[in-house]
Amino acid sequence: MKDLVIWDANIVFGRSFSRCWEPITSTRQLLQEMDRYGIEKVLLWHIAQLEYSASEGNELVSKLVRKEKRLAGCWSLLPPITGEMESNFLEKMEENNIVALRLFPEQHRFLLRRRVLSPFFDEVVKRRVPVILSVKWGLSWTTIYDFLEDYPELSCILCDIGIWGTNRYTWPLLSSFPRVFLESSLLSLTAGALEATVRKFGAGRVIFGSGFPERYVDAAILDLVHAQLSTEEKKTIAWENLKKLCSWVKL
Amino acid sequence: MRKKKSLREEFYCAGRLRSCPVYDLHGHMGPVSGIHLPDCQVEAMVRGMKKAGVAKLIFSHHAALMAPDIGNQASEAAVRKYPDFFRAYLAFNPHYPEIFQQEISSWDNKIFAGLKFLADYHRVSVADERYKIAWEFAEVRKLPVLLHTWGGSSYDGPEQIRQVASRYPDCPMLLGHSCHGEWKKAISLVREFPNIYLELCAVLDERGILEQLVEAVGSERIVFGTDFPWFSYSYYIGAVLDARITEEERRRIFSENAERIMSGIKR
Repeated sequence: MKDLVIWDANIVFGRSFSRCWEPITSTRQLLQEMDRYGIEKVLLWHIAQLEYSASEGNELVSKLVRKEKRLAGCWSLLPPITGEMESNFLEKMEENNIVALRLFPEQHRFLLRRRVLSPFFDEVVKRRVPVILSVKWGLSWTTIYDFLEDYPELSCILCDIGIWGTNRYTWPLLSSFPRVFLESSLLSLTAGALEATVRKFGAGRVIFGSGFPERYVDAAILDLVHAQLSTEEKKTIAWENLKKLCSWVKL
Repeated sequence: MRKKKSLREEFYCAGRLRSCPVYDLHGHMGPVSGIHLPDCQVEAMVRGMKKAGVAKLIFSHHAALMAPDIGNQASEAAVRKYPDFFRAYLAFNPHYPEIFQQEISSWDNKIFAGLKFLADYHRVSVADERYKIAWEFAEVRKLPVLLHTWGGSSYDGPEQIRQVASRYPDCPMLLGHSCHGEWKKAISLVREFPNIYLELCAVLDERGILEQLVEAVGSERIVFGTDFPWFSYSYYIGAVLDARITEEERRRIFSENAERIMSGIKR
């Protein structure tokens, strides 16, 4: 139905304890869904990383992505000072096909500040590991702004950016921080917002994501497929940006 | 023999549904204070509707809802300019009944298709006496009323809707956002009152709710709406196409129910 190759940067695996959505519970099911939507590759995380334990959840992600080439994973990070994370964390990411980090400071009860995360996090920035911040999980825009002021060189994907148009929050960040990207699913929700963002900042700043299984995949794909953008711009958003971001990582 | 394309395949290929007109029963127009809406001006909206193949949008201009000093004339001007694309809801603000009195004195069916209530913002319950003048106007004429409804609201939550639904049984009530979050209560309202319909704006950004609504009340009482120019047509139509419901159910939601409710809605 479409010629566009798609990599999806925003998929959550596993059963939420509150069953907020119908979950993906097996690799087989996920691969079938990817085939249905024509998605070539996904960058996923596990809900247990948020709701249960960052380190145990990380292990669940590793098991999923270690042997399946179409899947790549995100690990969740805690403040190093409590010693809850694996030693040689960054090296083990590579062994386990983990290419990005997700931070959940509200649920894991820490502050997104240099004082909390450095010096470890300076290494994350230096090695250009993408960090995914989901606005959905209680992150305030003030926190995001302050965090990026602390780490202006960070490769950062802002995802689940909110259902009520957020250009007034996101555009100043795109303007100020060259390695900030927007995940597309809720950007696509606002009429014309994807096109307006690309016109202002170029297609290089938007990364396709669906929010599956919490949101409908066709909705996100169709908004991109039929956007008033060139074929090149659509390709850039659909997979090239995520691929580029992953290729920058030096683990 | 060549297999007939599904609606999903149609929209993937063409970006529009050639075999099924889409009627959007919940729209707006113009700027709004809290959000940058890139495509909110009338010409951009017409382009967006043409692109997605939306046959008609019934809307209330943001000025009609938020700026009493401008009021419904903003909606009227757009309908006069693009009558093939738009009809308007006359927005009622219970704080200014005198404006409503004046506006209905020149009511024009070609411009207006019904009334719009935004009680959560105007902060007067839809069951309050101050809404009576508008309810009675709609009831006598059997005019559809689109209400913003939200779970937990003391202005337009399920309890307030229950009170007015029995009071005005001849008035088709379109529950904008389907009492968002209180889905079970919205379902109960539909089962209890034949004049109630659920509308999908702000419902479709969460996968699975539409399926629950269809399973509980059937597709005959659900209408398509987007808040356009808030939400994207490709995204919203895509969500309905992705939902695990039948093609017949999709057609009712996109077209048939709206045609039944809104006489004269066709171009």
